[in-house]
Amino acid sequence: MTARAQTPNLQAVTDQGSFTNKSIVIWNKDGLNVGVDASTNYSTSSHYLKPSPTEPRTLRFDCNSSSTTGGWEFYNSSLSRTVLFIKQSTGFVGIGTTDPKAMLAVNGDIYAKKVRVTPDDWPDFVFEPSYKLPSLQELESFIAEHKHLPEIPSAKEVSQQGLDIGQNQAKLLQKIEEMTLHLIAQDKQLMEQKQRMKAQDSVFAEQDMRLKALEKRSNNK
Amino acid sequence: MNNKLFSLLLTFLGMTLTASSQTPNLQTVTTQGNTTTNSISIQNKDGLCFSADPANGSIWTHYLRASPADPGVLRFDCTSNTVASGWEFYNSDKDKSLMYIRQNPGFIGIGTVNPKVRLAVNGEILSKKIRVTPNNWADFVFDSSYVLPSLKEIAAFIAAHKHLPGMPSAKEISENDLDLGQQQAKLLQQIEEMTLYLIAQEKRLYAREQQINKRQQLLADRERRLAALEAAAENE
Repeated sequence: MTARAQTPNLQAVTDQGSFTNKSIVIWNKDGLNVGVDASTNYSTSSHYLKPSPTEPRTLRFDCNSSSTTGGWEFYNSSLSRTVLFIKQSTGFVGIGTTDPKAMLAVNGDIYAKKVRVTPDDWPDFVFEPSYKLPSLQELESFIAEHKHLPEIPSAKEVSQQGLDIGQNQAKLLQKIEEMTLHLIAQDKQLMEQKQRMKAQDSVFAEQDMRLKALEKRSNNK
Repeated sequence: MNNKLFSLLLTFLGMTLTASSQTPNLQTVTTQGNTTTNSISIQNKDGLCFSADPANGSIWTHYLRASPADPGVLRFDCTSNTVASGWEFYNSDKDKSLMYIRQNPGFIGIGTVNPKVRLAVNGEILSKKIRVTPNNWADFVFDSSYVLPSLKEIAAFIAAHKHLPGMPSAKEISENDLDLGQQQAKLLQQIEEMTLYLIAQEKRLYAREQQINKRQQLLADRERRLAALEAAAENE
């Protein structure tokens, strides 16, 4: 027992089944290996609970298998409920589902203080001179035909494929930017109309004066 | 001494296993204290079992064993239906719970031991993409049956409530939280409604343009007639 390599691997089980303060110490390079395949009488080595060889003081749940199935599962056999499922081949994690289709699939609500995403295609291109702003007339006929805004997913698409919130924020911003351009154009048109009407009003007033002068003249005859 | 410790261990684990499943528990312990290549193999049906109750160490609830349903899956099985129990990733040096997995009702807390939803994260979530499935997507605005509120009604609502109709107020947001998917649906609804206002306004602007042009013609016509009358009056 001079070198560490010669010590027993299960180090100290000093009292049998003590409820007080002892633990079973696993003290070897590859830690524990748990057989997980009933068809081989649990003798196939794939799942280790061992020290990470690259990160000191990290306990690694290692699945040493090239299989596309398998993984880790947090389960309650009293309620027959999977709480968390980690697929070893894709690394997909499912919470409340055993069949995650993305890195993290949550069958329920997520609460967080902040959610950050990295959408591509942020829509500042709307303000580039080369961007062709669809006219409101075009928009009206698109809506009449499709019952949703162009480039925005329809209610049907959203219910089938889910809503990519980063992408959708970009799209909503694009729509707001387009509306801002239309609003600015309408504002200009309003101002122009106002000025033209003002000019017309003064012509009208001037004509009215001339008309009154003519009437006076004809009354004096 | 090694052999003594080892036999003690086997006795201990044997007792554990006898109590829970009758099969031998540690089937092979191939190398004792090897820091090079070997591991301790657990090759039995119900794997390892832990007691997770400090008040009663003989209640074994937490297993680390093969999933009977899914070959190749290592199952962290909690056999208790107690609401409080679960699994915890913890740092006892810092006295800090990193992740708490509540087995009933299956809620997971990261940075919190008391998750109220499937996944509660006491901090930020960073992701390339997040997809959600909101209900009530806002296309109903373009239904012929939808009654678009007038801008006058909107103005009155804003004056009274200081927020847009159908949108949560600042107070509501600070008290509850913001459902991102639902909120996007509501924002879309506002954009759809504003698009309809813009289209309607565009039509009124166009109609007004026509009126102004018509008035311009009227004024020009009146100008001609006035000028003719004025010229006639001069000549008298």
